[in-house]
Amino acid sequence: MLYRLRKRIFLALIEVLNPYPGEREFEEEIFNFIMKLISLYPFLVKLALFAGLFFLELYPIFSLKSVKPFSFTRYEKRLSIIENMLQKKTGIRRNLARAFKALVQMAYYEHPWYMKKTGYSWAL
Amino acid sequence: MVHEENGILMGVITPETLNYKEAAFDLLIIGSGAGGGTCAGFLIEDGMNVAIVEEGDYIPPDELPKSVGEAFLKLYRNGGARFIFGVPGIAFAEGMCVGGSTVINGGMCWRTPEKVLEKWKLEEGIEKIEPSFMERYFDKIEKRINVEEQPPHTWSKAGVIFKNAAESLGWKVVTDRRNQKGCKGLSLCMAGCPAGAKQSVLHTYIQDFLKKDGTIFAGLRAERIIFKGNRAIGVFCKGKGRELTIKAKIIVLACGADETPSLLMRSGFKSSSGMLGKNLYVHPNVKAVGVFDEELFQWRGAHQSHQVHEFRDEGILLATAGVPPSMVAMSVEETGRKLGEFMENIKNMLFAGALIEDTGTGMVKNIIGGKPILLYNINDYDFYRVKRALSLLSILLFEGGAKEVILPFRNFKSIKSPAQIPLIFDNKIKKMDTEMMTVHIMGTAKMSGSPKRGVVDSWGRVYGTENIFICDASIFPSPIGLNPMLSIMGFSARTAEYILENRHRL
Repeated sequence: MLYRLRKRIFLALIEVLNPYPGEREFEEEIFNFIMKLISLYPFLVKLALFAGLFFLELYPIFSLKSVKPFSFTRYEKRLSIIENMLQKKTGIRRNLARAFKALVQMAYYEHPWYMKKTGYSWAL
Repeated sequence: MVHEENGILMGVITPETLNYKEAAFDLLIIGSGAGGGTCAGFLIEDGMNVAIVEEGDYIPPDELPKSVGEAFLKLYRNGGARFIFGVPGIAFAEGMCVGGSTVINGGMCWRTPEKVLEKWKLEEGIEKIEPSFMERYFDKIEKRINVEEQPPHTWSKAGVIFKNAAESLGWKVVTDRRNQKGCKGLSLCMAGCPAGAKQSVLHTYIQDFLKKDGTIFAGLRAERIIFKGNRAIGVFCKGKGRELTIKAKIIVLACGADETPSLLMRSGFKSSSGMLGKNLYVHPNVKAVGVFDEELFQWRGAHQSHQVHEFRDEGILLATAGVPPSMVAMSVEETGRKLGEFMENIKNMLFAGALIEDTGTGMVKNIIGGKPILLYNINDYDFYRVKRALSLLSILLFEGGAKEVILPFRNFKSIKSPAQIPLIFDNKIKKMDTEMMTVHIMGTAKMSGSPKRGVVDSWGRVYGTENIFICDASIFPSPIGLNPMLSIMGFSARTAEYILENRHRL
């Protein structure tokens, strides 16, 4: 139950952070990579990340007076939420958005598909 | 890799293969990177019964990852995500595998600068660190890890532009000296070099160690040192649900400038100097990205090939580095489709960086569970030099033909002509808005001739103990302003030699 909820929020997040949204299968692979990466983090960091994830889910309800949580809002709304958080000068919301951005983009730009496309592992 | 002798497993032992709860050796080394691996290589040569405990896994050289993403999962501490808390926060990465950070670094090999050795001798009263004395260690290590100038056929197009621009400005530019044999220019040093060219400690001293029947406990974390009076009598280790107590006559700590003081602190040790965990230097790094009209494909060629040494007297080192796309994407503000458009241009970008020889210090503290956190605020003088370094990089990149230079400031993203360079010094650009990272931390158990000023003596022995030595960058009294791998290895070899000469008295 908790895993499914976590997955749904992450997939909603991955969709807005990905340069080319909407490739569901690809987004699932990114999610799996992120889960592997998080499993290597210290307990307190894991705790903070998952608390942050649920904060993000409820953020539209408490702060934007929306009736829908983050993962149920439409793409444009989710993108604007993340972009606004990233533009905050300091504070938890900015750091949280940056942490999620780092995770998703690490997974996306290290994906073998992308590496092949750019020719990064060119001689292997 | 594992064999049995008198019912005891030897070789590389993991928590899965461990079949005993206690072991005893003449000497135990905690950590297997530049410090621990080198020390082990030197000690085993003389027939000592030595074991290594390493928190990370043993990945055989021919099974190293083929991408940086896979490497983050297998070779880096915390999957590559570490952080130094302060203003500004600094991203930090280090290796956690047998071979330590030497497996994932750029392989730059510079001897400790003479002026640094002289400073340490004069200010800290450290004996026998004259360049002429240190030379024999560096000679021996350089031969073993095959240090040579990066061959021209491996230079990337970006590296050549960087070199030519520096020369055209009349700046002193040097070809990197790196520990490699037959570099193929894959720019995958950060993944451990799947071509097998990098001569890391894993490829060299660790293999020597294993060939001479050394024992490595991989995947076990040293939880605490067991003391009896002033002597350490063993180390308690844990990993994947298994426990092991290793007894040893001599213990060498080589866990890095974060984990070494942390282990001593959680073992209840207090340094009479009050310097344990303090004096943290981080060599702050900043990057500037030149955008060119032509395609550069910076990753086609050696990860790094040249450095500008013109400004070393100011404590500024300039270099190029093939940064993986993921690192680039993480470090810019753009996201979603805008990021996709930005990243389309990555093949036209030249990534350059500056290393600052810092003057301010931070500290390492233990939090709940005995894990270390790093605290560091950059001071005003060092921040001024960060801006100075970025202005120099911008001059160099425009000289090389860049049409735009992307800066690491949140509120001042790029400049499009040399005339805009003075804007970098604008007071509106704050420390908090600057993105920095590092891969060099040092100084948290500093060496000194006096127990009132340092944590370890001139030979790396921890003051107040009879038989604990430190062999990593934590012993450096000050930053060295260059990539520190060879310095760490040189000082470790020096400590190993001291241990061998005095082992019957320890």
